[in-house]
Amino acid sequence: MNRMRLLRCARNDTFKSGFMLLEAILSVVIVSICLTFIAQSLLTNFRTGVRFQEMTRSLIVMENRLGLLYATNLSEEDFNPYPQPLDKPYDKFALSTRKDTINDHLKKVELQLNWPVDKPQGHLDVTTIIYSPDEN
Amino acid sequence: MKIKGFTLVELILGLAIAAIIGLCVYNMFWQAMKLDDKMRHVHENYMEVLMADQAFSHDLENAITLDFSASYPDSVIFDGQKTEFSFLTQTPKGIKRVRYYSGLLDQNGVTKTMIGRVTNPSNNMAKGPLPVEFLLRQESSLADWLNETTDETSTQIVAAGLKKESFNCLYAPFVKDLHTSGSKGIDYKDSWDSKGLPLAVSCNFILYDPKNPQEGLMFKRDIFLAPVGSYHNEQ
Repeated sequence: MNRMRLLRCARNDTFKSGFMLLEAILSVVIVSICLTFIAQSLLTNFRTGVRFQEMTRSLIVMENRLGLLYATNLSEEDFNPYPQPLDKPYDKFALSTRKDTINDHLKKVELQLNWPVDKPQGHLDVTTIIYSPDEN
Repeated sequence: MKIKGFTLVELILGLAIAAIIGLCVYNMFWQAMKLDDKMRHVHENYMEVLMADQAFSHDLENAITLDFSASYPDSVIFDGQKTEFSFLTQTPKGIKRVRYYSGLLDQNGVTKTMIGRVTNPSNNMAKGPLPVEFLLRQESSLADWLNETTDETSTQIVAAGLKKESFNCLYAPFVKDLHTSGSKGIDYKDSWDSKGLPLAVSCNFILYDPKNPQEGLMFKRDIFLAPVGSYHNEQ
């Protein structure tokens, strides 16, 4: 009986004394972990958005270039294996182009787009086979 | 003393700390929400750019020429102006006259874009009218085009976030020895009034960017019309 009373008193004392330092630290840690996760997910969302924008622009650049290569029947003038910065509005991109002959009619074309020009962080590679009869 | 609970000083201090932390968290989330909203807006614009690219490249790549000179001597097969162009194209519903131009629609017109965004740039309650307009695609039947009627004409908003008067088009004629000269041999002009189709159409437009409203985001799309082989043979 005395033991029970002693325990109850001890528990009541604990409640009256407020939170322990350990409890306070634990709750702060839990809250900060939750906030970190939320902040991280927002940041990831932002980064994904930026990457999507760059990807959209790079796809348009690639489509422009492939159309040009088809139209000029793979003119030598438009091939350069070293990254060349493009004209405005795509001046943040550098393009390198390569061509290999498969046979008299088929050419393997490799395009590589890097951005930004000074410190490339993103890239888009396209390899395709184009029907191109020899004109020479 | 312990049974009495918190003192007034403790309570005020606790409230002050909670308020400071709450303010910081609220500020952080408000900024994050604003950034997320801006990002979503830009994302939608980019989706519409991709949609616009798909729409006019598909239409232009399927452009055709038909000779109406006997019955309709004034008809122009490909009419290219600086801010708009119209031409005949093959669609699953038959041959149609398609016109691309920028502007605003009246209240009775379509207000949904191709990606399902409902927008009205002339009635932005929060910030007033935005300096943007739509990229529009007008599709007419052959009869409508030749007889200058609008019975079977519909208009669709391709993209909604274009900066005002930023949609410009250039047209390149066929060039001999394009294989030798490469891209340097292509010479774009402001308009197209020749009988046939141009070699290429270059469309430039600027997307309204809330982060940079003065400059915006510029896009340039070059579309080559003739299928592979046809203009090589003409050379």
